[in-house]
Amino acid sequence: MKLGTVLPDQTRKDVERRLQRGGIDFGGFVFRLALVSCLVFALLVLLVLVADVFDRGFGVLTDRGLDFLSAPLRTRADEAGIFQSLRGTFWIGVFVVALAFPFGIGAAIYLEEYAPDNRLTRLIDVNIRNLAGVPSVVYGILGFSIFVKAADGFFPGSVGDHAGKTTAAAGVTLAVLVLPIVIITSAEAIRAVPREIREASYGVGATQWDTIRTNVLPYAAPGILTGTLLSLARALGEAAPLILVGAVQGRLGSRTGFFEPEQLSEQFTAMPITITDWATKPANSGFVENTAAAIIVLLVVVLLANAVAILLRNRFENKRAGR
Amino acid sequence: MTATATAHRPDGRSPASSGIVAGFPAPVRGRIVGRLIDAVLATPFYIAGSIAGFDSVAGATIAAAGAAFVIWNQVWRVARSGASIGQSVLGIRLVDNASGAPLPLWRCAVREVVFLLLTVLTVVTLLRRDRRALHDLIAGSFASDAIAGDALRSARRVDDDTLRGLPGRRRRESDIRALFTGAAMLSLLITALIVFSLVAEAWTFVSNVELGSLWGTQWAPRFGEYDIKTLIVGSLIVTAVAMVVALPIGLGSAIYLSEYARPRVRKVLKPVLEILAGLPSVVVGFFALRWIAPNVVQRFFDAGIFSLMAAGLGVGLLTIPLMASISEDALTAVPRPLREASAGLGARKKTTTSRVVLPAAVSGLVAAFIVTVSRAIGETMVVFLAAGGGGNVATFTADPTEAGSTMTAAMAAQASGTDAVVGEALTFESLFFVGLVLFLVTLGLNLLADRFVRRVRQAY
Repeated sequence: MKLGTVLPDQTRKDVERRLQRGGIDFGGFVFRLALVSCLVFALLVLLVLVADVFDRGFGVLTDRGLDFLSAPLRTRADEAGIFQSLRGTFWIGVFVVALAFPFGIGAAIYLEEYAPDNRLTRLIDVNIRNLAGVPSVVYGILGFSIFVKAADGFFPGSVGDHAGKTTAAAGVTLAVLVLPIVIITSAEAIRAVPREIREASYGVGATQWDTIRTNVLPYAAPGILTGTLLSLARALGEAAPLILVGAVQGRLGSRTGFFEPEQLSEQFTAMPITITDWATKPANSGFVENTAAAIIVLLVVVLLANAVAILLRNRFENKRAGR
Repeated sequence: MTATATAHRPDGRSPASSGIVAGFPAPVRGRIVGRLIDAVLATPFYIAGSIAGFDSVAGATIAAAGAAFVIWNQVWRVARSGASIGQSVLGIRLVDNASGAPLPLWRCAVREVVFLLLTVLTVVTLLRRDRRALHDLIAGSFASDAIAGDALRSARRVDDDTLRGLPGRRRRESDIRALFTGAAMLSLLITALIVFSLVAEAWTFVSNVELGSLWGTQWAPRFGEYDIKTLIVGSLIVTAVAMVVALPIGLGSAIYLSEYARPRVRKVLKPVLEILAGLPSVVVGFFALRWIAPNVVQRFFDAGIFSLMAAGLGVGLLTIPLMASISEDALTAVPRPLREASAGLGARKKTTTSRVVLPAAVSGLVAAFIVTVSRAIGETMVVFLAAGGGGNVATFTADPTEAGSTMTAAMAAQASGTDAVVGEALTFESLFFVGLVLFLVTLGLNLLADRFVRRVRQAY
């Protein structure tokens, strides 16, 4: 195969070589390899982290089993357990589900379905995105100076130093922390609902709310569920705001049972707080292993929520794509 | 114009045939949810009142306003339009049991008072076919299913109101809209509360602090030394180290996922980043302290177990997914024709990516960078655990291999350890001052990033 003489020599050689499938795009290969190694690096770090935590902590879980989960916080490593921490984390989850989900989804519905395109709407929009970027520790200050005081007034019994530093205050703080995330992800899911679905509903005489309730929300449900699960996981793993709200590090009485609502007006601790507290104890005290064991428990909870969310989304993406 | 039609329910029953004259009974579930909504609407008054203290003037005023709201919503509205906000949203209309006419004001009031006194006894609702509870029996009221009732009326008679939407139906729509509007306004309230809680105490700090104590060698709020540059430099070091990790890894991953990976590969690799994003920061903090510090930092540098570098590397890991996902969004926003034109001119994949796609996405990539920096500055627990930021005193250092603290970790450290924030006179207020600085820095960065993102949207 001979090309015309119009092409300069070098170019002609290049083109001929390409046509004969000769020569490798070496630069391109290296570039691609570098890109892949970025992802592989992330994967490796994740594996090392999980392996390291399991290596340290799995022994505690297999040796002590349920005892580790049901024992209260103690100063001796081989007796200490995470009962109160699990209890606090459970109740915080309840608050997030009860407050952040309804208000977050409600705000998303307003922004996507009702809001007129005016200055106020744009202000709310920018405001929500900024709230999502506010450091979590700043929400701790909000909880400390507003919600703790509110809880102090709300529960007349709690007086003295611990006044208001309750599970309820912590739960509200974390619900407020994840509210913008719930709004943003739900709004995205609602935005993805095709216009035709709404129009068909209006066409048969449904009101706007009927349309939202019976068509828009069911269609957006998987997306909304994914976002809410991710934000729940985020709330359960958050420690910094709880420190400011006054989570107890160290000893904590365990007067109430796991599911008793009296816990709301009591002092609290949570899984991330216990992990923080134990992680800073001396390396040979046996608490490092306890910390790792507690991390395994937290990871199981948090990553399970994440995994369910990711699976849900992938499944529905496939369904929508008709695969 | 008026026309008549016969009403048919799917089950063939009309209200009259079941002995109930005032309409279809509203579902009990809806009535409970309606009560809940009304209660939630009244809660802010109660909370605000308990913050102010009900024995103070402000608290009493708020309590009075709350009572007025409850009476307006649950009595006045019911008498005027047949439903409180909660009832209206759930499609419930209260009417006279005998005539189906609206209830007079005093009977609405009686009904609410009886309900408040004898809430528990309302379970009787479940036993009666007409779903009338104790307070309904005493007030002679009937909670009807407004939606079914309206449908029946529309089917029987077509007039202007049916075409425009019956008044009850229109009111229901506007009530629902108002509820959602309220939920959205909540975000403005939260911002206002954050600013309010930061500014007051921070101002006390700024106006009372001795200027000399703001410039020294350490951040030791419990001893009256507030060298803010210790914390700012600490934050900068941690952020810089974090970006050395997160910028290349995050950007590389994003380019691979958006330009190279086939859908199936993508579906396997993307969750890796998402799981990384889901890791709680305390877990990464523990990893940074117990694995990164001995195995990375101490192997290559002469450093102690606590170092800003170990914390920075941990924060870097934590922010990789954020960098990757925003960058990927920016790259996928680049229109396909640009890539095709480039390939059509004979450019290789690598050339297309680096000379066409990346420059076209640069605004979005800058935004991703800024958001990631903002997140790194705001990260608390990794620094708290791995940099030794949990202590009460942080000495000024510009050396990443030394222990130190950041703005965030200093705040957490100040609030932990003891039950109350104690120490020198302004210790407590300094917490809010640092918080305000942090808030303003991240707010500025986020607004800046927002501007870049908007530029991408305008371009394509």
